[in-house]
Amino acid sequence: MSGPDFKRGDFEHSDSKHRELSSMKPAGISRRQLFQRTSDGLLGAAMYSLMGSAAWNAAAAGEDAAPQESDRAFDLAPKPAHFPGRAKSVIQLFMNGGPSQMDLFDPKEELEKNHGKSYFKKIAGEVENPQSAGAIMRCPYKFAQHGECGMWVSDVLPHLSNCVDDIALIRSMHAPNLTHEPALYKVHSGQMLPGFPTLGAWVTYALGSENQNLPAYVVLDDPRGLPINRTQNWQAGFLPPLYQGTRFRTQDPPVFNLRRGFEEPNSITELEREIRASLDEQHREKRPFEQRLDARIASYQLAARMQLSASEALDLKQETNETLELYGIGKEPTDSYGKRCLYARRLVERGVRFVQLFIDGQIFDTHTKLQVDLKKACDRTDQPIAGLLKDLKQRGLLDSTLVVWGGEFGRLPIAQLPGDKSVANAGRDHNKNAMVTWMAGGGVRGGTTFGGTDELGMAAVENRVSIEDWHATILHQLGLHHENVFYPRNGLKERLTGVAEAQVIKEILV
Amino acid sequence: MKPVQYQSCFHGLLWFRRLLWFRFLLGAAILLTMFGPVLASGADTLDFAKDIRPVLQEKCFRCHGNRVQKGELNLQSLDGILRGGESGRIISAGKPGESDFIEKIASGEMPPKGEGELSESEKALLHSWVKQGATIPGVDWKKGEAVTEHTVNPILLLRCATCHGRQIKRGDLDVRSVASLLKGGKSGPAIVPGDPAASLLLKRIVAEEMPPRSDLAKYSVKPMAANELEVLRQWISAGAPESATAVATKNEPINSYKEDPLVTSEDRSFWSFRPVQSVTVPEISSADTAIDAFVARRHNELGLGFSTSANAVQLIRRAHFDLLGLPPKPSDVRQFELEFERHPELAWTNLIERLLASPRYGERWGQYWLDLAGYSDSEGVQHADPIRPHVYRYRDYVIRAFNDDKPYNRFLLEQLAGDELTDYENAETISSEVSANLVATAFLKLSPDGTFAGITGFVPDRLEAIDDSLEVFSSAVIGLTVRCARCHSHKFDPIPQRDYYRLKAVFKSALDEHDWLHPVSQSPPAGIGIRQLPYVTTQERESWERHNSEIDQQVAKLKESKAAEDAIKKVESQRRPQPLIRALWDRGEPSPTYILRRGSYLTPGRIVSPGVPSALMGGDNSPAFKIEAPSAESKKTGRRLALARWAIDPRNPLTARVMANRIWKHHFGRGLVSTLDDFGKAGAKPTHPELLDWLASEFVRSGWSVKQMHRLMMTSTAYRQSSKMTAEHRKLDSENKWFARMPLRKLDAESLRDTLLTVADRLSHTPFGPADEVQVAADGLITSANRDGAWRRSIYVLKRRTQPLTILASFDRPRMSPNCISRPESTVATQALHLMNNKTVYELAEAFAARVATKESSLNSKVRSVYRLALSRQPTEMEEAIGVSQLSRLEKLWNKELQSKKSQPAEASPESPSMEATSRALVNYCHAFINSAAFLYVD
Repeated sequence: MSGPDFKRGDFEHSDSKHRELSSMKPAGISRRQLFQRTSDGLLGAAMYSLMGSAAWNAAAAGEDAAPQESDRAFDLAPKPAHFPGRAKSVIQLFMNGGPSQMDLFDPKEELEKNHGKSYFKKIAGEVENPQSAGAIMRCPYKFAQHGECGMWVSDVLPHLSNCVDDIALIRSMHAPNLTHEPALYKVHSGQMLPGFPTLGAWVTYALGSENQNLPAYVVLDDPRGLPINRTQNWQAGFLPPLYQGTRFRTQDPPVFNLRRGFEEPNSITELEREIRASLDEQHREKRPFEQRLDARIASYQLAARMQLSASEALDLKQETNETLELYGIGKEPTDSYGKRCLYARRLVERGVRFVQLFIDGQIFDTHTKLQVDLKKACDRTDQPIAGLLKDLKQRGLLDSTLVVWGGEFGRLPIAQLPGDKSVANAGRDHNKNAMVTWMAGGGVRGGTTFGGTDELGMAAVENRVSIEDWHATILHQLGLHHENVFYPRNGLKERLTGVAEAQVIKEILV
Repeated sequence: MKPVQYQSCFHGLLWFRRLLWFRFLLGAAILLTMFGPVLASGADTLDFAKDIRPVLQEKCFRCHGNRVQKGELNLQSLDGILRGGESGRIISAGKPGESDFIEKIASGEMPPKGEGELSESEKALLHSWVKQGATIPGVDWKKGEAVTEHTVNPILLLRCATCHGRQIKRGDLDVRSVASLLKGGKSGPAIVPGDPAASLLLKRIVAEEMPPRSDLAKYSVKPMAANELEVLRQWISAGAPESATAVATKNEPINSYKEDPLVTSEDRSFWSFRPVQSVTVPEISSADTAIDAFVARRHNELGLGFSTSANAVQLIRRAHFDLLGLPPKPSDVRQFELEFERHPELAWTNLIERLLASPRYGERWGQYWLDLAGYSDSEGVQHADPIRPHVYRYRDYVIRAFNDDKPYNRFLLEQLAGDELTDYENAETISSEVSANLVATAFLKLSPDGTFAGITGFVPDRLEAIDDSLEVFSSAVIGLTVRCARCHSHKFDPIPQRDYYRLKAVFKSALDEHDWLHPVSQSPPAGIGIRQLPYVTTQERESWERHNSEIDQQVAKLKESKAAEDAIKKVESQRRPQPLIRALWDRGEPSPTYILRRGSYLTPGRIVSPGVPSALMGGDNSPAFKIEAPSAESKKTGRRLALARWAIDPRNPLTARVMANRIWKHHFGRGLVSTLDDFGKAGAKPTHPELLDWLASEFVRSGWSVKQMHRLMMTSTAYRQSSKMTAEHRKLDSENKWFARMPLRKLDAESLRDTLLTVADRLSHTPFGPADEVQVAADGLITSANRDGAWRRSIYVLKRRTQPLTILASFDRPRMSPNCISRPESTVATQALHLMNNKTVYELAEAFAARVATKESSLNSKVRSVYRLALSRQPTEMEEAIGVSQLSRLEKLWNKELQSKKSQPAEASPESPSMEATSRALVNYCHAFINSAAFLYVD
């Protein structure tokens, strides 16, 4: 059980805490106004904990005005957390397609026993493609226990099996939708529709960045193709676009327009820059009190720095052969994902707040040929991910980096039959009622297995974890309370977790 | 949308976890440990009348009594206690942990702060009473809520009506009324009252024959849940009773808002819910216009004063960007400067008139409206992101409406209920006006809509789309957010949950989640209609028919002459698709509207009638909301027409204020109410309430003329001030709340792109029609297609949700979710990178330089020309000198670079740069200008 800062004040002397904190209210806001504004959150007291934070100050700015965020200047300067968080950065390893929980992390004897028995009618309403639904299907791989903790992992993840004492497995997650698009929106933005800020956007909005030469929120998508929902997986939604993820393409250049799209000697570029700076200086001198003009000049300076830093951050020549081998770089099929994992380490090392990794082609979406295809997907990602965990650990970065792994939903215990109805080539269809994810580093208690599914792995039944709980937990590890990371819009306080109740999964935390 | 099926059995567990983790249950935790057990085990049985009612009377009745019923809860009547509030029962007898009543009290949420607190002993008392069984003489907690037609109807609508309802009647069965169930279909009556076992309806469902498993995804239907089946069984057992009272209220509008226990008269007295006040202009001798008098009055109170007037160049630039979103031509600037010197007032008013008459005006102000409407050229939601091929007609309609200065009340009327204004179905010819009325209704159908696919087309998906339409209406037209009330009564504003569903009922005859139409024409499931109408003008239709019949004739001839397949195909490919209109129209026969408890489609509550937010009603001077069907025999309901007339009723307190405030914001950079999206209690109060009301009154008085509002605002001294911020401004008014200067304003995304194209002379002014396509480059950059080297204005570029134009997205053109009332402004490195390094921007700099070079030869004249084209002004002597030296340095450096690369022709020496060096130097100079702050910010 963690989060002592959060807990202490809550259960003991609420009244004294109330009084003590109310004296810390920001200038320009009356007690009454404060209560008016807090009454929509479920609580008075919890709001106080963010009095010192940027989010609150932003919201409380102005006297008679409720917050109008569009009047505010936004930046990426580091902001204080609500309470001391364990993690400084997040690496999100998104497993596109919905990895099969019962074939990777959640062994089910009943599948073996009931293999071939019909089950469809009981779950008809939960099946996306009823016409291809088959009978109960066993797991094609072998499970074994690993590490000191004895975590169950199947034999298609041999590398990760060596890291289980660093990861906390959540076997009881569930999703609200069994279609890729809405399910992806949900995982990334908390809502099932496009247009909402993603987790990374919320995090950078709340915490800013430790590195002003690089974007705060970097996306490493697969050069082979964009994921489903494309660039909307890292959008800022209604937050200022400044908080949207910046795609670092793993080919050169890593950022749009980072390099000149035209030929020109460097000396000329330098001189043009000097001329522009002089024009801006003349303009600025006549408007001495306009701070927005400083911000604009600063943005050109950052752009110039980024031209250097972004390429440096992705320069793998600086890495030893040993490191490259650890990630499986230089050989197939791990080269591509291995590079992205290594880029992720280099970025968090440089203070990037949030790094989000994608794989093309829905490789975990094993509707058919599960036995072959799921292994292929694991072969591409297993060594790179294990390499990342080991590398972060040996460099002392794992403590301050939260690594989260998971897809958009899980899969069904019954087979999905291909057109020729061949059982040997069967896969599994989508299942929103059970999905598996894991977290490592950043204050997560390694070796934990949390929650459980029913006998067939159809639905999470024990210690169910919603997407909102999962989001709240990630924010919590960064020192943020999910109810207090909000953005005022159309008279609402918009939050990642929305109006749903969410609980931090304390059982998996140190 | 909530995963209910597996959740219910964990409710207790969840509750327990909540108890552990949430601060707000602190009170409960203490109570349980300290008082709960003691009282529960040791005390005598509590007496409701003696022990409990007095507490409720003192602390609760004020808001939950016979007179006022917040959250639809009445604790003063025994029936009210039993029934509970808008989300159902609040007491679970014997189980305080499962009672909302106790939870809200323990968490401190109730009573609300400042409304009288419950003492710890009172809290403990209520807790014990519930624990003891919440005994009230005459109240039987065990008695379930009676199963009526209205318990059953929502279930049948949800699970069966898609294939046995309005559009499709498989087996001739229609499940939408008791009568039609009794009549049944081909196989006989669907229900036998009193005999569930003999009722076909139940038999088929129990046998899992219905709904047919193979069609579930196609028609977006899910099988009936066990608890729903049980309700159905109970209802049939009870004799399938109809609910007389509820049927009677089904379609009746609310006519009296005076007696309303959910909204008090105090609620209605909030400033923006009161009618617009008639105000007198303050007498301030120094003020030139009424606006100035209102502004100056506050200045006098605060020790501020107007800034000096901006100069002629600043004024013409300001006016051009404000009204057209484009820079002035250098010749227009010269002309204006001359006129301004002679007759400043006349020159200024003439300029305003000239700009208001420009067709470019509608392309600028239309964009503001498209943001509010959430205009997009694609559906979004899924990867496929299908294009909306016909929606451009709406964009053109908006541009024309602004250009024609269509009265704002008429503009709203058409967009909210254009379909109800004429009998287009029986018209002999479709005039452009009738067609435009239908085009206008797309306003309510612009938000993302994933229901084009079965798997994202379920009832909850449809409810999202409907919610978005309500949000667009309420945020754009009346400046309020009603969507909070979808799940519970609004926390700040007096909008009970009931009012959200009343509003939803208004839209029901066009947007019915149980009688849904597909948003796009591509392959709707058999029997399901599409949300498009064929009523383009007769002229357009005939021209289309002529064209295609000519093609048919050509094809026939070719076939006769046995022409090659290819030749025939080539001609056939010229056939044009049918011209259609994306629209919303009254279809009649709306299904009843039920309040959804906690917003979930799985827990329907009581039925409601169409209505408008009651906080805006009930006074003597309230706007009228009166539903009249177009004729007695018509199936159409007239509901949206009533809403539209209510919205544009001059007595509506919000419509005119919200629009006047918005026009003000676009001129002055800040609204009089700074929260453009929220005129409710959580929004900002107006800085100049009298000015706002004066403007709103003038707006209505002028016949709702938007152009007249521009004239009023732009001719004020306030608008003509310099934008220079002084130390005093910084100290007294850094936010520019009091308008003692004009703000320095950054070009928005569209203005920036259009200005770049103007300066490069690459802007095509071809208006209207289908949108210009976008291209995704190999590196992912999204650009727009050009025609013969020219691009059209940004408003005409395809707005596909998955492919936002990179330059517009970088400069804060937001995603529409569902709409955008006020754009954020950011200043980030990606913007700088785009302007510095982007190839297209560089090519525009080349085109800009070519314009300068063809006309000017000396360095001095080049510098002057660049200033004139980019900044509309002459450089100062100093600037010119600096510019000449910079340009000459560039030329020399280029010369050196070029010489070092290749052997130079003999004529070029370091002293006299080559042609290539001079032209490339000029490109860099122009490129530096379009990257400069002076280009991006307007004084």
